[in-house]
Amino acid sequence: MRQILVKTERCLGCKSCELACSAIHSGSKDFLAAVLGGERSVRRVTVETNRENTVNIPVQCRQCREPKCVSACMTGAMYLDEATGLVLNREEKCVGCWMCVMVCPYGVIVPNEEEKKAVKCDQCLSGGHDPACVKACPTGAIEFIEISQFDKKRKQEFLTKFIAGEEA
Amino acid sequence: MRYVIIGNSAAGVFAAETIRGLDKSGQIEVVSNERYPAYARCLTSYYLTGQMSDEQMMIRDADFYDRSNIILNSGQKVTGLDTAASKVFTDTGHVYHYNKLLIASGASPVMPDIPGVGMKGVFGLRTLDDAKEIAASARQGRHAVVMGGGLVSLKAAYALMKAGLSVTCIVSSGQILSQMLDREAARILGDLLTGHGLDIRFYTDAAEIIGEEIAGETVARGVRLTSGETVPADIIIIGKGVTPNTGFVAGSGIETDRGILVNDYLETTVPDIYAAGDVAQSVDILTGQRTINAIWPNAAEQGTVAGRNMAGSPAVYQGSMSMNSADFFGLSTIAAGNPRAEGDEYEVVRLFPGPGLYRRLVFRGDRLVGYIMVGNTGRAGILTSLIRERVPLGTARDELKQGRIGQRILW
Repeated sequence: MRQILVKTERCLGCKSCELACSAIHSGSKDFLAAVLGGERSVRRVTVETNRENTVNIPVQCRQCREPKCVSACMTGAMYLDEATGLVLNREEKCVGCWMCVMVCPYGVIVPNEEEKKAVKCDQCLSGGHDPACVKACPTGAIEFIEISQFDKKRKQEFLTKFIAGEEA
Repeated sequence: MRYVIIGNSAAGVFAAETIRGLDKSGQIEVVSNERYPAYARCLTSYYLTGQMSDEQMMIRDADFYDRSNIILNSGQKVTGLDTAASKVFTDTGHVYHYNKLLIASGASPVMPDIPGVGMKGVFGLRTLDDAKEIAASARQGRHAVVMGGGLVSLKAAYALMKAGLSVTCIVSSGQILSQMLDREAARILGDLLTGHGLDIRFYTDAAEIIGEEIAGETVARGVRLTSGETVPADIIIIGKGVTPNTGFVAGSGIETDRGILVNDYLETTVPDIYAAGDVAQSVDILTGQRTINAIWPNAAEQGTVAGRNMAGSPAVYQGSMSMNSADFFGLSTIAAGNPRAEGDEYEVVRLFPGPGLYRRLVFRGDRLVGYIMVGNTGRAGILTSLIRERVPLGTARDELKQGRIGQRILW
């Protein structure tokens, strides 16, 4: 199972991911065309910055294993898909009651008031499971990667530095 | 292993799913007095608009029970328990033997003790059958009276207005949503609803329902108020709260207070019997007291925790929290925790950060213990989890009052 992971030391806060997310979820799939066409596209990722302005991190749905939004959903629209490990919203069942918005600890479920649908990151599952934010990131800060592989890379990086005497 | 679950709504269904996830071979029997598969009880008011199909009301796919190997015994009302013999009895004469039992029997509308509540045209709004009956007579131009100013009443009123009825709402106190909102937030919502034509009558109550004999049946025609005035009505909906369905546990040895008392594992005072949802009186996260916060999210979580414990994978329930969300005419309002708290131990901050926006934040010591957000509620969940996780706020407390945490914008 792959997950969207972030190397915060690489994130410059350029918000390319936000634009890419808006674009891919617009009718025209193009940000400029969507804006010029008066379309209001709902993005599912927000770059957040810490108090000291030293760490940026794009925040989108963390695909919780015990999702609060799923137990709060009174329509059965929101569900944890066992096959993909994703928390998904069946929009045809969603009525826009915002119970999921009320309980999401990350504040990443977006109420689309016009359509009365809760909108959230599905890792671009509908578009071939190839997240637009990852493709758009110019520094490679956002990765779409198997967690085991990410662990392995991190261990290697640590050991390399450790042997070179850079990290204790 | 034989699992029996009384009730087929949020708590029952989440419990059944959880048990099946942990125990592939045990027998799971759900006993329900409803004649439908699990449906969204909170959507019954939406159903009144006439724009919801029966299929949309269902919270699981049609093949859910078969696929999960869960036996649904519908149309059977549980009438009693024999806890010594581990048996459940129903009004249809069925007897279910259990090793582990979950009581998730929910609650029923409280009907006021006034003349005429038994007439045709007087409804509670709890079940899909209630909704179907109301919808069948909710024709454009008709008049409805909704008794009570709580969320069920207002959602019903809102739906009937959308269906083209003229609606009067009778509120015995001086404020709508008095359990959920403070006066300011209630005023904003009240103004919005009355602006769209809802007739709200405060400080009065129904004294009597007036009927008329039609073809040998007494049909409701209006409500006489304690003020003396009579409001005409073709439909009368009673939304005066609910009471837990505990009748059948009498004499079983299961201890009850307002609801069925449960411990941190959601087990009742009788071993191997658990309770969850609107019938269960469990610990409240803020007060530490056992109470009933009868909302869907708590019921679903309790069902999950009870299911784990029943299937032998111990889990401690973290406690329930009062919270709710309402959206009328596109104005979203969310409240959670103890948002109406007043007194010396609390600091209450009221903010009007923009047109149509209102926030009330309630702090106790270094922690957020309640909030109300009217309008622009997208980040409400962050506040809910600050309360739930009892996060010490430190400098974030002052930031919160400005609508942010660090650089993170909350509204």
